[in-house]
Order: sequence, then structure tokens, then C-alpha cells
Amino acid sequence: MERLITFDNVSKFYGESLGVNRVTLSIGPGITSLVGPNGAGKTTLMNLIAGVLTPSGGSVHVLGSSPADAEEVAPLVGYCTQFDSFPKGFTGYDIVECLLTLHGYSSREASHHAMAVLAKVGLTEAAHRKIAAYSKGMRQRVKFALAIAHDPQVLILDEPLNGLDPMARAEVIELFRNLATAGRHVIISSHILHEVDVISDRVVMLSNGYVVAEGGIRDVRSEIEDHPMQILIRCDRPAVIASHVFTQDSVVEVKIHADNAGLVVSTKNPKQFYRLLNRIILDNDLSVEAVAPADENVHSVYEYLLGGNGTGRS
Amino acid sequence: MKSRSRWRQLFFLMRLEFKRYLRGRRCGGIFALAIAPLVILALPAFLSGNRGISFPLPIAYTQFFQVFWLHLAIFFSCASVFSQLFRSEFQEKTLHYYYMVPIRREMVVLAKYLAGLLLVATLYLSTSVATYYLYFWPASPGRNWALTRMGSQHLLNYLFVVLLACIAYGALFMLIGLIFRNPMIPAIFVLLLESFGYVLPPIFQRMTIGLYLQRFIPLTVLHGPFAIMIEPPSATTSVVVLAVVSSTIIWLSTVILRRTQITYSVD
Repeated sequence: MERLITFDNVSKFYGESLGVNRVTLSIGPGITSLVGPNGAGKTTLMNLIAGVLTPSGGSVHVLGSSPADAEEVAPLVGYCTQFDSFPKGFTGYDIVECLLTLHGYSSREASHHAMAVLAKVGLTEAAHRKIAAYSKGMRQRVKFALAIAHDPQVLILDEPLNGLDPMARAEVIELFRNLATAGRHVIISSHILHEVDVISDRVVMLSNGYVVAEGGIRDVRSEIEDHPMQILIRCDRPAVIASHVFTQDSVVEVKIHADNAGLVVSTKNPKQFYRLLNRIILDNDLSVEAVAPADENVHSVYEYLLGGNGTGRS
Repeated sequence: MKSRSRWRQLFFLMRLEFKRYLRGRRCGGIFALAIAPLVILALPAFLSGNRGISFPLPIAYTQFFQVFWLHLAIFFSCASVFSQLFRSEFQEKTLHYYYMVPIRREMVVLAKYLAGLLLVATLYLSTSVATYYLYFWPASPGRNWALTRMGSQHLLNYLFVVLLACIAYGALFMLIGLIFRNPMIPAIFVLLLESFGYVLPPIFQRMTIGLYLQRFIPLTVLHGPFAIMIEPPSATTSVVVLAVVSSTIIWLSTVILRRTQITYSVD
């Protein structure tokens, strides 16, 4: 059996809105985190793996099978969605038991296994209560139980730590680790890098539907830090700025605009560059119309995820 | 997957859906619609002490059957149950559960349709028998007539019409519920076409389900001076047309569901 989940030049559009664009990615066993701000395309990628969405272009394969074939892919995939909705009148036990029966378990096996899974997520006592009466954390646990009930090879968890108290978080994270150690593919989405970087074997960073960085968490961090940032400056005498910044080691490239009213500077040390730019403007009495980052990808995502001061967003 | 497992899934899903409909809030409405005539017909029987002697006219029952039973009670019950088979899943954001189990979308469509059919057909077949006997039973001439071969034949015909109507309207409203966000607007259009189709040119009348049911209604009700009466197709043609149209509509529904993606925000 193929051991990878592969995206080959996958795009997904919702009408005219972009979900993800030209994503080429391979995900192996272990814990992989999809990280990015809201609207980055994390849930779209997960829905494409689960077959809940079909790609507008390219192809997705889950361990060699197409997600369009529910009979083949559903036994392989367990999906803890972000949708906080359940069929009316169901108890936690009912919904897990129904799912297992549809997965081919006999009535007796389904009943026995449903209780075992609910015990694993700490819902034994509440198993026969209506889901409508559950707290947010309990509903999250039911979704988690639904995802792991049929013992899938691939586990997709969309913001799985939402609504869980610190104790439950620790338990769930431990469960992810055990599954990953057992050779399962565990895919987690989060918009908080700090939340997942300690448990992830691999991180895929997304922004505006594009994969902006991927790899081991250390590789991604260094890739981001080494990546030069482009800064756009619109001013009356760009050549003056160009001549001053060229002396800086951190400046990689300078491009003066054809209209001679601006330039783009690529620098590995933006903070130092901004300080220098202020001095050049004041010393030379330049008239500056605009200063802005020219690439809103890796750096902006990273800044967003770490909350600028490195404390993370919640 | 083995065909035995598929059948098991189908029956399990059907049972599950049937239970869900029974628990749904719409169920009360359709039960009320089906039981109201029983109460209306039962009251005179009780009040007259079951001693009526005048013969209740079979044509009056046919009028009641066509106007109230077929075009109001059965029609709206089918609209209410079948148009919500998938629409309610979109509204409650629960359709994705069917996408996460190893079950073909065709099976989901079939299970939901059969569960809806089981509910509506069982309800209306049983209440049709009850209304028939409650109408004829209080007066002894009516009771005698209802128990004759002809009386029983009439009842069987009415029951066959009820079954065909549930099958055809059910398939139509399931498709409408998959296509339209507000199924009541197309439902009203269909109701007008079905109820007043007799004033339309023959080509339009042939597009109504009512024309094919007409062949099995034991007596003919006149619709007034503006009606354009056309001969209903033969019994075999009527059954074949309704079966083919219903199957085609169910197949179309499976095609639509196969292409449906879970994007609740835009549904």
C-alpha cells in the first residue's frame, strides 16, 4: 500500500474565491501540522483529503486511493471536523455506534466498541446523554471519538484542541503521539504555531491558499529567518536610498522602479533596514510617499502566527 | 464492498432515517393532515348513533379523495417530507456525516427516499382505508356497498393511487429539495399545475403526475365548463410512465449528490 498522502498541483476555488492554489505536497506517517491564519486554506486541504470537497484542478491521493471513492477512502480516514453540529436527538453512544455499523461492524461489535472509544475520550458517564446537552469540550470529544472509532490509518483533526481544558489537551496530545508512534498519519490544523510545534514532526505553513513553507519545525523556522524580506519604498529620489543601502551586508538586492519614483529592497534584516531608512530620509530630506512590505507571505504569516512578540495568538 | 454489506448498510440507514423522521417536528404536521379527515368523518357516525340509512354517494368520496386527499394531504406531506430529506441536512450542517462513512452516495439517496416513502405511504395507505370505511360505514346501504366486490375494488384502486402518488411526488420533491434552497416555491408551482392542470392544453396535462393517476381513480369527477378533458393513458402506460419518471428523478438525485460538496456557508 502507498504510504503517502499526496497533493499534485491541487487547486480549489469556491466560485471566484480561492481555497488553495497549486499545492504540491506529500504527507507521510507521523504528526503533520497545517498552520496558517484563518482563511489560509487549512480546512480546504483537510476536506480535500477526506473527500468532502473535490479539487478544481490537480489530484489528491490518500495512501494510493482517490478520496472520491468513499468506499475505499472512508475506512482509511478519520476526520474530526470543525463543524459543531450533530443529528438531532442523538446521544454520544448513538452516533458512534451508527458510524461503526456503517463501517461494517456487527451490531454487537459496534455497541461494544462504541463504549470503548467513548471511554478512551472520557465520555463513559455521558455516553447515553443527548449530545445537545453536552458542553463544547464534550462535543469536541465526541467528534474525536467519531474520528478514531474505526481505527483509521489517517487521522485528520481540524483545530482539535479548541474548547478543551488544559488537562484534556494534554490527554489528547498524548493520544496523537501514541497514534503517530504506531505509524499513523496524524494531520492537525491550527492557527497557533506554538500550540503544535512541540508535538509536530512536520509543519506545513499556509497563507492565502499557498504553501509558503514546509518541513521539520526547525527547518521551517530557519527558512523563515533566512528568507530575505522585500520592502517597497515610493519616494522622489530612489537612487539616494539605493546608494546608501548597498553598503549594508544584510541588503541582498535593490531594484529601482522604471518611473524613477520608487525602489524595492530585499533585506535579511528588516529591523536594521528600517532604522537605516529613517536616517537616510532625514539626512537627505527625501520626500517619501509610501513604505510597505512587498511580499506578504512567509514573514507576515510567521509574524501572525507568533503574534509579533513571539507570544502567539489565541 | 460486498453486495451483502451494501444491503445491510441500506437497511440500517433506512431504519435510521425513518426514526429521524418520526422524531422530527414536521412529522406532527403530516400526521395531523392525515388524521383530520378521520376525526371529521368519525364525528357524524358517533353523533347519529351509527343509524344512518341514506346511501353515501361514491362520487362524493371520489371528490374528497381528489381534492383533499390527493392534492392537499398527500401532496403537502410528500412536499414536507421529501423536500427536506437533504435540505434539512444542509440547514443542520449534518450532511458531512454521510461523506465520512464507506457508503456510496447512491445508497444514501435510496435509503433516504425509501425511508420517506415508508413513512408517507404507510400513513396514507392506512388512513385511506380508515377514511373509506368511515365514509361508507355509518349508513347501512353504504356499508353493504363498501363490502361488495365493486366497493372493495374501488378501495384497492384508491390505495394503488395513493401508493403511486407517494412514489412519484416523493421522487419529485426529493429532487426539488436537492436543487432549491426554498423548495416551497417550486412546490406551489407543481401544486397549481397538478390541481388546475385540467384547464391547460393536452400537452401540459401530459406533464402532470395527476393525469397518470387518473386512470386508476374509479369514478370521474367533472371539473366544470373550462376543463379540457383528455383521455388518460392506459393502465400499463400510466404505471410504466410513473415508474420510469420516478426512477429517472431518483437517478438524477444521485448524480446531484455525487457532485455535491460540503460548503455549508454557501448553501
